Amino acid sequence: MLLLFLLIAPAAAGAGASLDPLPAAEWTPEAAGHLLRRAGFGGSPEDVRALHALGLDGALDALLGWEGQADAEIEGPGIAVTTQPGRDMRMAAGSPEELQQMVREHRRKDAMQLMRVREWWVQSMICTRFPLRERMVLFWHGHFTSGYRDVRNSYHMYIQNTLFRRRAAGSFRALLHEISKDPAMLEYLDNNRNRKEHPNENYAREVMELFTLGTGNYTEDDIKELARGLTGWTFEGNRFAFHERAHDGGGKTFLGRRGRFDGDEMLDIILDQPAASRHLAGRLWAYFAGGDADPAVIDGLAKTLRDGDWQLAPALRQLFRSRAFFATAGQRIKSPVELIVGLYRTTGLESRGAFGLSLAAEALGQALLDPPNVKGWPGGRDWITTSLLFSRYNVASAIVGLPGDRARLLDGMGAEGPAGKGLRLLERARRVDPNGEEMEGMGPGEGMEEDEAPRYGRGRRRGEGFAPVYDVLGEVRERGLITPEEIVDFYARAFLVVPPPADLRATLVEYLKGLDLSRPDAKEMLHGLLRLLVSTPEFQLS
Amino acid sequence: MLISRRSFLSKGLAGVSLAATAPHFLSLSSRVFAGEPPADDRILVVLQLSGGNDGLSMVVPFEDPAYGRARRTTAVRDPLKLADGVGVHPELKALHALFGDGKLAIVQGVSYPNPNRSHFESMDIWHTADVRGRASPTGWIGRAVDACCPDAKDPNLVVNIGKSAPYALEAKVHKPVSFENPESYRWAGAAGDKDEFERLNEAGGPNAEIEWLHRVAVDARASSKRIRAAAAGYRPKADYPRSQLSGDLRTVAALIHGGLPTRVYYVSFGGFDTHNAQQNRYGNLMRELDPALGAFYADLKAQGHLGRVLVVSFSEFGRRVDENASLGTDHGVAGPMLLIGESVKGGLHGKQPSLTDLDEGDLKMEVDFRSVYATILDDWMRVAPEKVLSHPFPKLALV
Repeated sequence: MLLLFLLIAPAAAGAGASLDPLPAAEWTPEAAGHLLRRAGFGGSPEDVRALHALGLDGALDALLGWEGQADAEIEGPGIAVTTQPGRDMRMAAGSPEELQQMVREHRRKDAMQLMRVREWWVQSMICTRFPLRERMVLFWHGHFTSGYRDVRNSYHMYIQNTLFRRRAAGSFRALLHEISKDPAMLEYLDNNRNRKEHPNENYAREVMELFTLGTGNYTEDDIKELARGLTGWTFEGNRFAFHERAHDGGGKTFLGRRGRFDGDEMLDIILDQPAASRHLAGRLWAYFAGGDADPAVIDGLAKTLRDGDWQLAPALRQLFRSRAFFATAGQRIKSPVELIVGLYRTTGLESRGAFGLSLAAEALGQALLDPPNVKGWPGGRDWITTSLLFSRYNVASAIVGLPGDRARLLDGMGAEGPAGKGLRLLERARRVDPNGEEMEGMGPGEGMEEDEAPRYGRGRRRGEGFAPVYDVLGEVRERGLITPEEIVDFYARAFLVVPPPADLRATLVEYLKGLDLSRPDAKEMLHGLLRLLVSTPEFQLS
Repeated sequence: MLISRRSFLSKGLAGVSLAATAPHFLSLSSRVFAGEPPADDRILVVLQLSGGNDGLSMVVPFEDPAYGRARRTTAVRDPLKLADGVGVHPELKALHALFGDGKLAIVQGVSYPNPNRSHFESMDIWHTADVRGRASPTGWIGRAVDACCPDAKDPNLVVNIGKSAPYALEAKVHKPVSFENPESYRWAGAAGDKDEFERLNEAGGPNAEIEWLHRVAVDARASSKRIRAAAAGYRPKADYPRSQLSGDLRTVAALIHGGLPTRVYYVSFGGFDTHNAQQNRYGNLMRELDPALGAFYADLKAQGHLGRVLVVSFSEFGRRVDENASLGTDHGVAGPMLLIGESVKGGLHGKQPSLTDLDEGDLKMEVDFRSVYATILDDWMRVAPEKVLSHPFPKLALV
C-alpha cells in the first residue's frame, strides 16, 4: 500500500498537478492570459502583454496589490440607505390599508434599488483596476450566500457586498466573524430569530455544513450547541445587535470541548478543526481552477491557510503560482458573469450605461444578489443546458454587435425571450440618445433621475453616448490587421482559450474572403466574424 | 423497417387516435427503433397560476352565508353550478362543460402544514415538494423525470414555456429546455452565417469539457430545429383565442402533435395577486384562462392526443377568506387544484374547507398537495412516489 502510494505520488506531481511553482520558462504570454482570465476576467492583448512582462511574481503582486490603493473606477452605486418597513411606517399610516399600500410601494422601490446595486456591481467588475478583488467578492457571495428574495433589503445586500470587498483576500477568521454579524446574513439564515427560548438552528447548521467544515465533520448536537451560542445575535436597523436577554450563556459542549462559550469563541473553535482549512482550500480550488484537486494540493493550500492564521492572500498566491493551476487552462466553464464581464474587458468596450448586463446574467442563470439557494451556484456543467447555450451565444453576440437587421431579429426572439430581456435592454441602451433623455422603459431601474444615474467608465470613448457597439473596424485599422488570416488569428487568440483547429480556422478565413476595409460592408463582415467566434463551445471555456 | 410512431405522426396520419388503440405497443416500437426510451408515452402539462389564486372565486361555495358575509363586494355572482352549493366562476364555461363530461377533477382545500404566506417561499415549497423549500437542491418534476427516464438522451424531455425555468424543474440529469416562444429558441446571428455557425458547432474537441460542450451544441441545434419545425408547421384543430396563455398552450399542443418525446410541459399564468379591485381583475383572469384551456382540450382531442395528456394546475397559496378594504383579498392558505384529461376521475375531490372554522383568518388544509403529486407520479407518470417525495402521502382517486 505504502509502496503504491510512493509510486503514484511523484507521477502525479510530474503531470503538473502539484503546488510546485511554475518554472520560469513556462511563464509564457499564454500562461499570463490564463492567469488573467482566472484571477480576473481576462483582458485585451495589451493587458495580457503587460501582465506577462511583470513576471509571475510581479504579476501576482499587481493582482493582489489593492491594499491601500484607491480604485477610483468603483464609486458607490449612489443608493439610499433603507430600513425595513417598520415602526415609522406604522406610525405614519392612517389605516391598515394605507400601511399595506406603503409597504408595497416600499418593496417596489427597494426592488428597483436592488437592480441598481446589481448593475453597479457588474460595472465595478468591468471597470475595476483590481479584478482579483472583484473575483473574490463574487467568490464570497457564492460562499457566504445571502439572497434578496429572503433578505428583501437592497441596502443590506449592498453593505454585505462591501464587507466582501473589504475582506476580499484578508483574514478569513475576521470575515467569518463579521459575516456572522452581517444584517443580510442574519436575516437570510434566520439567526435574527434565534433566541434562548426558541433556538433557530438554520445559521448554526449552514455555517458548519457550507461555510467552514463540510458534512461529516460535526454532529447534530454540535449544531444545537452552536445555535445556543449564537442566540441573541440579531440586528437593529443596519447594524449588528446583541440581545443579552435572548442569549443562552450556559455551559456548552461543542466539537469535543466544554465551556461557557459565547458565539465568537465557538466560531474560533470551528476554525481550529482540521477540516476547516481543507474545506476552504477545496472551495477556492473549485472556484479558480475548476473541478476536484489532487488531495496533496488541497493539503498544501490548507496548511498555508493555517500557518498564516487564515490570511487568504498567501494561499491565493500559492494557488496561482502552482503548476497544478496552470495545468487546468481551458477546462473550466465560465460563469455567466465571467462571460459577460470578460467580453467587455477583452474588447475594452465601454460599458457605461449598458443597463441590463445583470439582467443578461440572470437570463443565463446567474442572478447576482439572488442566488438559487444557500449553496450558491454549483457552477461547471450546471451552467449549461441546450437553451442556455443558445442564450449565452446570443448575449455574447449582442455585446459584440448583432446584425444590421437586429431589431427584426430581436422581435423574433420574443419580447421576453430567454435572453431577450437583457438583449432588449442592451439594444434600448444603445438607442438612447447621449443626453440620456430616453431613459424610460429600462426595467427595474426605470424612472431614475438623470443626475441620480450611476456614472461609470474608464474614461475611454466617453461622449459617444451609452453602450456603443464594439468598434471592430476601428480596432482592426488601429492594429494594422489587413488579411483575413491576420484578423481571424488575432480575434481567435483574444477570444478563445483553445485555438480553433485548422479546418475551422479555414472556415473563418473563408468567411472573410473578399473583405475590403474601405467598403461599407466591411464592418458587418467583421461583426459577423466576432459573432461566430463567441457563438462556439470554445468561447464558453476559460 | 418498421415505421416509428413519431415519423408516422409527422407524415400527417395523426388523425387516427393511436393513443386510444395501442399506445403502449407503439411507444415501445418507437423506443426500440427511434432510440428514444421514454418509459411511457404519457405527458404531464403543469399550469402554474402565479400570485396566489383566490380559490373561493374559482370554486365558489355560493350557498354558504359565510361566503357572502366575508366577500361583501368581491363575492362571485351567478356561478355555474357544479354540485349542491358549489359552482365555478361564470367565466369558466369550458371548464364547467368539462366537469359535466367528467373530464375535470377539482381537488378542494389543498395546502400543506404550517403554511407560508410569502409568494417566494410558498412557491418554493410547491416546487420542491419539500417544506424546507430551496434547501432541496432539486424540484419535484426534476426528480420525477430523472427517476422515470434515467437513460433517456433526448434533450427535449422537459420543456418550459417561459423566461426562465421554474425551480420545480431543477434536475440532476434532465435539465429543461426553456423558451418564451419557439422562434426565440435559436441563435440570433445573421441568417447568412448559418453554415459557418453549424460548422463551428459540430461534435468533437480536444478535451473532455470541450467535447461535452460540442455535444450539447449539437443537441441544442437539433432540439431547436425540431421544436421550431413542430411549432411553425402546426395546424391546430381548435380556435385558440389571442392571449399569452392561449399561445403558450397552442405551442404545447404543437410540440405534442409534432411527436416530441417530452414528458413534462410547464406553462405559467400570472396576475393572481389580487390585493385590490379583485372582482374585475379576477374576471379578466378567468376570461383568459377558460377559453385557452378549452381550446387546448378541444385541439388535443381532435388531434387524437388527449388520452396521453394530463393537465394539472396549482397556485402557491389561496387567499384570505375576509376581503380587505381595497376590494381585494390578501395572502391566504388552502385552494383548489384542477386536473384535466380524458382519464381523470372527474368531480369534486377533497372537501371544501369551512368558511367559519379558520386558522388566522385562512381556510384550513383538507388535502396535502403532496398527496396530489403522489397520485400523479404513481398513477399517471408511473414513477414511484418515494423516488420524489420525502415520505409517503396517501393517494387520491384522481386518474
